[in-house]
Amino acid sequence: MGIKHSTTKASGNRGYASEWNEDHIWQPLQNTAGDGYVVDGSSITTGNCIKFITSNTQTTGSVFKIDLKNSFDKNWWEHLREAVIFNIVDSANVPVNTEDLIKIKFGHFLDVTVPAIIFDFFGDDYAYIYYSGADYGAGLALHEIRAPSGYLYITSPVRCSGLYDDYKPVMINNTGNRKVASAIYPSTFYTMNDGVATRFGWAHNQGFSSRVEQAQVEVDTAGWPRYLGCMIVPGTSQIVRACVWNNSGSAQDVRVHFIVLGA
Amino acid sequence: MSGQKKVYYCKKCGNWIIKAPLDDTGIEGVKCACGEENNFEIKTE
Repeated sequence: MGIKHSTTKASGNRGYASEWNEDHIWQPLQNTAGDGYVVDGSSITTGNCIKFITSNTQTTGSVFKIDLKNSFDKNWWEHLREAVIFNIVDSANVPVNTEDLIKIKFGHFLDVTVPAIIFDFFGDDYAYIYYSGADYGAGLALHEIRAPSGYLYITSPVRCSGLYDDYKPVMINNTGNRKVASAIYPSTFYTMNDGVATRFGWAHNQGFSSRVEQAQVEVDTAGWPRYLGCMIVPGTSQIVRACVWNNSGSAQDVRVHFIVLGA
Repeated sequence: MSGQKKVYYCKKCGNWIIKAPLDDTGIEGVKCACGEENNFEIKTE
């Protein structure tokens, strides 16, 4: 048993909102004949670098989709004690660069604590990572993360103890260091209509004197909408962003605050 | 005035998208349920 890795073409579909359609996100990955690349998850041990090799050379608008729902199950994650590194290259062994988009889908319920997952994107491209709770249908929150550059650490990804409760946002660190929270900003309630998505952003200079290296987004609602996600973008742009979408079936009060680490 | 908010309305369908505090500076973009993206007008209500 292994994972399947496929590449498909896209027409420059790189925007935020165009990816927010959940029907699109949840569509099965399209595997082209001869395009699969299989990794035996049982052979991967702590500290390994997992390299995904696409079947074609990357071109502008390429999309690299990786489905981790097979051998990368709960048992596999739990045997990890240290970080695991994902490294994506094209058929010429060239790391994906600014012209490409990576989509990684966790198709199973990640009720585990993973020390760290490192997606080594090398370039300064935006990478999209989707978490999904397939075991529970489309009810769990999706996460979409864009990594501006270099290493993207994801710690304790999507630790959930129930369908919609105890949802914990991901925490990422593009420098490799975990630091304690030093500030919380801001804490404001918005009322989101049903079915809408909003992108929030706060500049680092709004209360911080130095570059933010790590940030966490928490989304509070009165009743936990069925579909609620967030995205975090720390990095070089001196701004931290989150996107929240509400498909709960009714308007929701949402509070978004950033816990800024390492400022 | 207390209780007032900035309300983002979709220019395409006319529905409200999000209600934000008057002093809000955090919203960067919105997508309406109708699919329209970043095409809104803000009213104070």
